[in-house]
Amino acid sequence: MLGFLFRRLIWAGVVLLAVGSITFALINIVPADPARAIVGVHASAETVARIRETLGLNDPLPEQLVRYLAAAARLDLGHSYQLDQDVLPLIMSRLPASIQLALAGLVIGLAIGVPLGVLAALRAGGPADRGVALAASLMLAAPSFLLGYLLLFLLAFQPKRQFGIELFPNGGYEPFDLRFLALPALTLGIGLAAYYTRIVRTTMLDQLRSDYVRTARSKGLTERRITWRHVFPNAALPLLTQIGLDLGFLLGGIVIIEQVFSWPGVGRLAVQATVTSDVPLIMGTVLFATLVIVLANLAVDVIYASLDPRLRNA
Amino acid sequence: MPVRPLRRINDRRWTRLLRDPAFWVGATLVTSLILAATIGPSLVAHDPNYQYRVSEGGLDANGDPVPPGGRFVLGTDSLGRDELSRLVAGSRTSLSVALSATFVAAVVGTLVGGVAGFAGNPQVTFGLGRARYQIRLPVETGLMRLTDVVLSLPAILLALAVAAVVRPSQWTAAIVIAALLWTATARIVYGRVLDVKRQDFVLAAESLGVSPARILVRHVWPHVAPLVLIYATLGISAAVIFEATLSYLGAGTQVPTASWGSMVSDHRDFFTTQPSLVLLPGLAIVMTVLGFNLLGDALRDAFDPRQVSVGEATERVNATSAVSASSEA
Amino acid sequence: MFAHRSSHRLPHRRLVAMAMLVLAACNPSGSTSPSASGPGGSGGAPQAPTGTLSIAFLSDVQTLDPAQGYDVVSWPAERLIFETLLGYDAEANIVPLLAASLPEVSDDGLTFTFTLREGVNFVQSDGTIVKEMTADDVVASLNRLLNPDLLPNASPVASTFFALIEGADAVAAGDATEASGIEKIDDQTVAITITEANQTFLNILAMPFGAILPADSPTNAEEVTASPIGTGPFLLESRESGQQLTFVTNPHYWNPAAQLVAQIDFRVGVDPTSALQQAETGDLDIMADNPPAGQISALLADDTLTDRVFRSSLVATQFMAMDVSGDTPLNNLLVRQAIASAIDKENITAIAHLGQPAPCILPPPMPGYDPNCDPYPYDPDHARDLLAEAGFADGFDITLYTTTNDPDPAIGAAIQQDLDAIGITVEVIPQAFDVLLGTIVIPHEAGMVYIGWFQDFPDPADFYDPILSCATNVEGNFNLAWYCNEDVDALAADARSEPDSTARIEMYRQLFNDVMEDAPWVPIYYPEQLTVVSERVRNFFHHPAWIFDFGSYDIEE
Repeated sequence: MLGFLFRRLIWAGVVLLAVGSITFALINIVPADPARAIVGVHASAETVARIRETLGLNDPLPEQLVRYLAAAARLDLGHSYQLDQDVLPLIMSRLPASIQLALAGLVIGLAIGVPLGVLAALRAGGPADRGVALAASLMLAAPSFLLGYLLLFLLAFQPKRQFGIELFPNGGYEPFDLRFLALPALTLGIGLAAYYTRIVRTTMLDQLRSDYVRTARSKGLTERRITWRHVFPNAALPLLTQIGLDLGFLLGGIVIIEQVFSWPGVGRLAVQATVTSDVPLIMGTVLFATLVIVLANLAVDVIYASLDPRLRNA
Repeated sequence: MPVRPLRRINDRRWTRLLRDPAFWVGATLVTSLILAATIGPSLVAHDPNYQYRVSEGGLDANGDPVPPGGRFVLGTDSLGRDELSRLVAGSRTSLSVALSATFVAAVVGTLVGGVAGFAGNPQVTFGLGRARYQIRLPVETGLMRLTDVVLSLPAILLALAVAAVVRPSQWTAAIVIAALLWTATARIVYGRVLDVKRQDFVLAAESLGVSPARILVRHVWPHVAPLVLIYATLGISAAVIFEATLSYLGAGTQVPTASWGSMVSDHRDFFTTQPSLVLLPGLAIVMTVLGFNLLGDALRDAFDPRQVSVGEATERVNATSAVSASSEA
Repeated sequence: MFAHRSSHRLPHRRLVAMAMLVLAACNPSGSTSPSASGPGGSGGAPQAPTGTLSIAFLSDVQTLDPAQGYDVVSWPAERLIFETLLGYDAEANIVPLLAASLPEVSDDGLTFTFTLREGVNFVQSDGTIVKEMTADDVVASLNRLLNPDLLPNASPVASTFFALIEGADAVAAGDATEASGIEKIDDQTVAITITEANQTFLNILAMPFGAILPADSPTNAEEVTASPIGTGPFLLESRESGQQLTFVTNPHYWNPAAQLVAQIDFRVGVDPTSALQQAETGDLDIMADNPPAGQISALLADDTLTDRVFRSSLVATQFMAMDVSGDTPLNNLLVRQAIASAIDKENITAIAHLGQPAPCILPPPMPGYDPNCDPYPYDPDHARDLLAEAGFADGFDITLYTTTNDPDPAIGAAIQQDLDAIGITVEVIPQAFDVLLGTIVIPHEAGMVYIGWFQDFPDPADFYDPILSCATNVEGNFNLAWYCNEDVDALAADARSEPDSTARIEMYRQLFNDVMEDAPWVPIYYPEQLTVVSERVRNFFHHPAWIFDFGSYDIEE
């Protein structure tokens, strides 16, 4: 087990190094003047020259790359000159809002997606199955920015404006306040639910077709017992795996929804960084997000390996 | 992992496909989109980028868009451009970006996955002077590790990062999409090639001395091609949403090129006075993505009901669960 | 000051003019109570101020250091905490603020002697008094403004507006730490001497740059922003970068009668669409940015909102600057005149929804405005002829930079089409305002720039000196057309020092007509401000000098 863990950690480190090299390339090779890209377009020429010296941008590229990666390893993700703050503390200050959104969205997504997926699997081929599949397709096809905007307009703004009833607040943010969290989380949750429904259905069907179910049936266990005591828990694990592996998808959804609802999280920070060409900030965010994804993948692999020793030789 | 025998390709798949209503709905939507994108622009009455002034009737006296009817079938947008023409032009943007990105991704992904699966990690012997050296070229490992790295990248954030350093356009969006999308195909193809390699008929062909190239073309490819097509179709819908999202965020298609995503974001503020300016492009996106999704799903149901992608995780579980279930009873 | 959003950390030598709006305030509720900057207050026993006023801004406060800040968000924030020697009343007249009275001016017009108000205290964020204000603090503050070693940059106005002060150049060069022209006479008296007669010097001192800080203030803007110590009616209670600044009432303020609310919240990073919705539903009290163009017609037509919607003309001009001295065809006068004649300003003004087409540079409320000035009416055929005459019958390619703020990109697209009609291919490049400011101060970087200029004080000098004079035709300045006409410059110099105001105004009228003949700019329209407030707000009005005077609005609890 330890050997497996060790190998996985090494690999995670390799991935992070690779991604760090990609962001390094985007900061230092792509722009015409990396110093100006870092400091921001409105700094004076003297400031740019000073930064070039301070950051050692005249040194050979490999040396810079090593320095950059070493700093990232120390969790120094750079400094945003436009906002005059270090990148990592800035991201951390916005992280709680994003985490709340992500968790709430996940809860809603699972609460809607899992029952629907189970239903579709148990009634596979029938009208309920088709209905769920169609609904899921529709929800998947709707871009989250459209859905979010419509929800905001129809459930928050219009009721208050036309009828004076406050169903949901019109944007705004208070930590851990469900009223503000409701609409953004609902938007995220609906999109996730559509995605998870299919996965739950597929994994349940896979399980239902497998040998051990046939065995259990032939032994006389009731369908209900089979479904809930055996099939469902076994289907749950691939689902959770898929969630962990699809963290990138979740992150993408968060970026969009934070933008639509002006939610003060990391995603909105990233969009603002893009719009103002705050290169250190956006690159730091990419690195940070990759770290999260890699850690999630690592966690999934470790959980699986601890459950199934045969996988530890992978 | 037990090897499941693959069925030979036969006509029953096509029958199943043609009987699936999802196929027809999807195909209709996709065909409409392709028609709109190809011949649509020449059929509409107005130039999608021409801004009709107040004096020309494109905007009303207050400077607001004109509602549908009369000269402008679907009305005008905030700059006095004909909305119908813009929607049609947007279909061209979406389709060209999605098709080009997905095509590149499919080609690259097939190559990577195919080479990794077929070549494996070959042992290569070479000579230097009189000595002979044997090394194992980590082709398979290297390529699949590369795939893992790219899969670890946060897609939208990376696209935003690119937009921060270069001037974004629909083509930068296409490049980013392609650079991220190929991994899905690579994994699928890799898995399938590995499966096929172990089949009896391939082993037989190899032992008969059939060249690897011929094996690839005659025996492997027919089993891989349907998968590539299925995932390319699904990839197109992902690309459409991705491009729309990027344009919405301002990191994709730029003015004056029409893109449904930027049409939605540009007209958010006109929702109370002219909701069609937001709803119509939104509907266009939904219909397009739905079309490709339904089509891809139908293709998958017909040609690959095993649904390989989720299989991997399921396989792990099956092995462990078999024990628990039989012990319960 | 450039119109719209914040300009973060501008380089040296950038000129900033503060917006002052001499406007026809549409204020149906009637009252224009004296701004907090006025001396004394209404009669009656001062009550403890109550209530919280919330204001939404699109951009964040960039700094609270008066020497650095100069954008539409940092300045209102600074004005809550810091004060200057002079201020403006509700009619844009200069009134004493930290000075006890208007200064005595010497006969040669070069020395201004200020007697300071007594009993004014510097208070820090937690509400404790640091010390009483004396002449030492005034001297130190002005010298601090001139200090070339301020961090992160020297003040943008040290080498422009405030270079007027005698000895300022020595300080800038590093040869002195104090300007000889700033003299402490006694603990309550300061004399400031300038190098040449300038009718706008008092206006210059009234800009937030002239704020008085304690004598030992740090020279680092970051420290001042973190712990600002001022004399003003509010204290900075807390700040969450990118989210909100919270100001609470200063319990030791020298004019308690002028303090009307207990707390002011600056909510930053709020886009105008959300801000409008929140103002309409009452979740927000004041939206500081104009509503999005798409909502304006509905707003103006909505009867339920009439007494909560305030609309005023700004003393400002939205214009397109053309690179006069660069390497593009724009350096040809005929080409610029062709472009000026090819722009359909009525159409663009309609797209903007709020404003009047602008035939010339000075906006109507500004002294020196010439209603007969209209050298380039819309005439695309004539434009084509001019272009052909200049030798560009086949047109050419050029760039146009705009901000990303609504409705600028739309206006950029409209200009693009207007010029396409005469054969010129325009590439529109929208950039975030911060980014744009950095791009356009590099000479000849942009072919054309579409932007707005707000007046700093009600004086036509402000529409020439910072943005069209020969002195500003260097990197880092805002002479976006990179224009320099020596004759016009000489006229401007005369006008600057002309004591007879009627003659002076006439000189400026002539000056701007001359500038229009050179066509460095195409003025497009004169903008308006439209503000929606919640039902709880009292005494709201658009201030002629500051657009908003948050310290003088009240809230009903």
